Amino acid sequence: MGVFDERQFLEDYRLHPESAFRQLMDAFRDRVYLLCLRAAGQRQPAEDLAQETFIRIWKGLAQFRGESSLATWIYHITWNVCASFIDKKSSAQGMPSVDDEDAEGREMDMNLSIYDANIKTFENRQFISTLLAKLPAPQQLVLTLFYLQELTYEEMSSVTGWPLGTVKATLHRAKDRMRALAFKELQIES
Amino acid sequence: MRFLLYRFLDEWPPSFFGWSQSGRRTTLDCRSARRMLDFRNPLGETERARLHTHLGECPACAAVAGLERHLRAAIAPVELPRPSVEFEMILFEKLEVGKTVQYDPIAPWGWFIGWLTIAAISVAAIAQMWVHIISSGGRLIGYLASLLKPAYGIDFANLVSIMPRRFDVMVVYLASLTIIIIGTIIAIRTSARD
Repeated sequence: MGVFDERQFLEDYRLHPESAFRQLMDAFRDRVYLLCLRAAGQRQPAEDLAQETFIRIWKGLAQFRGESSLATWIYHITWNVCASFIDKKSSAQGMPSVDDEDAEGREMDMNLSIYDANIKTFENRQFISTLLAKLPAPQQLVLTLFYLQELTYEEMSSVTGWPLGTVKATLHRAKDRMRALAFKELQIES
Repeated sequence: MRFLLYRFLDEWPPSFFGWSQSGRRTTLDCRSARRMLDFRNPLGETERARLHTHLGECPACAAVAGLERHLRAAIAPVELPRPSVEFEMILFEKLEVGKTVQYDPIAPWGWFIGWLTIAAISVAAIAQMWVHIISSGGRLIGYLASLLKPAYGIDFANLVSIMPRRFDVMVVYLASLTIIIIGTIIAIRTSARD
């Protein structure tokens, strides 16, 4: 993503809303889509979610007051769209919802010998992506916000609507679970 | 005293254990190191050096740090996945539909149509009552007349008696009934769209 000038965008939006919106979409489309992909797991529903997100952004832009950064506001809308999708899906399939506390994440003592022996596996993005896909969707979303969008904890709290402590705890659990899954996979393989 | 100064001035936040899993004394314990790795707090030069030293000494934390690095690399891919080529076309089609509803040129007149419908239904309802009064031989007017006569000295019952029972009464009846039905449908559709 190139540098997106938020102030310039808001000025452009006042004069030429549609062309400004296209600029905004070019800047955020792939990131919003990636978040939706993490929530939905498949391309088609992810595209539907991303489209729903941009429709809400278009409808809400006139009311945007700049209380948070534009990026945070966009991710907040994306989060809401994804969260309601996950909630609907989880109530239909009995999966954990975005508000569920996940007790499975636990500290995993890591062994350097396992890590050293499998460093090539760890360097394989596909391996990590496969592990990531095994996490509950809310944890995938939180990890993506943290690593990809590089939001601060305060921004993540604004995006998710969760208290700061919950954001940190969820992130911590997600990482622990990733480690646990990684070592479980490697032990199975070896 | 020197120990306390070391704890609270040189190392902050203070480490309460001070021993790594490898069993050697370091300036950083595993718990603090994991916290530094876990959370994206900006590290100062001293903290960075201390973390680096600790990772060199503690295999478990080194493994955590390694996995953290790979996790970051995998989750934040260089090449982001892109939606299909039809994505934007479908989105703008959806937005066009939304805009048609949002900026409906009839919409500013919606309130006028609403009030006109209410007025038409009211007139039609009065017409219906009037037809029923005619067909019932003016009993309602006769009752009202008995109430009003003492006050105004007018015999309202006679007004009813001169109302003709003609074909046009049937026309009024059917027309008003039609207006009520159509008006009700318009009102329901308008409220559903809003």
